[in-house]
Formats: sequence, C-alpha cells, structure tokens
Amino acid sequence: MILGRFQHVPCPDFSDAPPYVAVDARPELEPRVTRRHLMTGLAGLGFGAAVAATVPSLLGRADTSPGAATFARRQGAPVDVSKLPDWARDMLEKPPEHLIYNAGVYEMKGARAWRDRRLVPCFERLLDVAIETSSKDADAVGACAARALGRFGDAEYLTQRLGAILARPELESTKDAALRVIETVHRMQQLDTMQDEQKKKGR
Amino acid sequence: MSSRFRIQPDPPVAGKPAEVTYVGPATEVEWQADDGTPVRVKPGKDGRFTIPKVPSADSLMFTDHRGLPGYLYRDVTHLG
Repeated sequence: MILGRFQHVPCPDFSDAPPYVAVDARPELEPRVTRRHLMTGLAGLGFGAAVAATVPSLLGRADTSPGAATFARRQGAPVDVSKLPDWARDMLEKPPEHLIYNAGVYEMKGARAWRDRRLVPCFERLLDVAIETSSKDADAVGACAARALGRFGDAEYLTQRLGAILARPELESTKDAALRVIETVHRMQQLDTMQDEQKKKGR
Repeated sequence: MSSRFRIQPDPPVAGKPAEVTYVGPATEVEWQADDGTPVRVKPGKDGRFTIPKVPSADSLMFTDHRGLPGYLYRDVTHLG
C-alpha cells in the first residue's frame, strides 16, 4: 500500500533536462492535507527501512544529482519574492550560514504561517542547505526544514530529496522527520481518496 | 547538539505543567505551541520558568533568538 505512493513519484532524469523548464510545468498542488490532518497521522518506525530496501531507484537517481534541488525549484510555481514577508525573503536570498543560524526561528515562523504555501520554497531551500552543508548543525537544520514542510502538507520535495538525506547517516533527525511527513501525507492522501470514492458511490 | 533549553518532563505532556530551564545569555526567551502566538518569558535568576499547563498541541518550540543552540523543539505527549 505504502509503496503505491512512490510508484507515482516523478523521478526526473537530469542528464537530458532542459536548462530551463516552464515555471508552470507542475500545477500548484492543492493544499488538501491540512495541518489538522497531519496532527492525526502516526509515524511508522519501520517505514524508513521499507523505503530504503524497496525503492533503490529513488535512492540512486533523482536525489544525488547536483542539479536536483535547482531542477525541483524550477518546476515549482513562481515565487513573487516581493510579496513575501522579510524573513521569508531572507530565506531565499541570504547565504547558507544565515539560514543555519536562524533555522529554529524560521521553523517557528513557518509554523505560524502554515496556510501560506508561497513559503514552501523557502523551506525547500532550508532543506537543501542542510543537505549540502558540512556544518555540525546540518541535522538540526534539516529536521527544522522537514517538519516545516510537513506543516505545509508538502511531502513531494522531501520525497525527491530522501535519497540525499539517507546518503548522509549523520542526518538522523532529518531522516526521521522526513519519513514521518512522507508517510503521514501519504496516509492522508489515501484517506482523501477513500472519502472521494465513498462520496461517488453514495451519489 | 546540546540546547540551552531543558524541559521537564521531557517530552512535555499536554495539560500538565512543564518546567523549563534556560542557560544562556538572553534575558528574555520565547516559546510557541504549534501555530500559536509566541509567548515571551523572562526566566528567573536560576534560568527557570514554568508553563503551568502545556497546551494540547503537537509541538513546543523555544528560542532565545541567538542561533541554533538557543532553539529547542519537542513533540508534546498526549495521555489518554
């Protein structure tokens, strides 16, 4: 059941990716999974092992490509930086050291603004910074980013980057948070699908 | 990574009091439950302050606004 989610995960081949992809290539995701949904979700402890053992393609392809993060952002909806709050703009523009220092505060601000999906790219960048930095704080930063993305109901980018996270054993908390979000969002999507089907049957 | 914050009990329990100890340079710190309004607190001379009743939330976050060592995240436990 769980693997059904991953069979549908886009796994782009970066070797022949065009230099630029239309920013509206991927339709904006509907925020169907709300924070209240997530609150009801439970993390499966064996989920990580199942993913690692059964989805080798996920580990080997999209996540380790140096252009993966950039590619994913290019596919996302365009972000009008001028309309973001100052702190969110900082998250997109300031150097990695700034994001690492303020990761906790950003998580708190993101938690308060969980309805604003324009902020998702900010936390995707925070996750990128955590994955790419050699800082001893990388794991704490990554966990902040993963939890924040979970509050937005966004597991797609975490799924794309899961291989890169698993490739760094020191990112233990990040991995746990990411898997928890991925599984919870997946379960909520399954529930939504079941409810939709029941409604159709009821008509 | 060790935090400047400690909380007892750890993890905090919804509906129960929690005692927080802060050892760091800030005179004022902030805590927040989920998407709730941040609460500013001045720890006592011993660095302690109490949350009389931990909110029924998923998480508690603490910060002194002085970098990652001044940040603590904890999932809230719900009994029953």
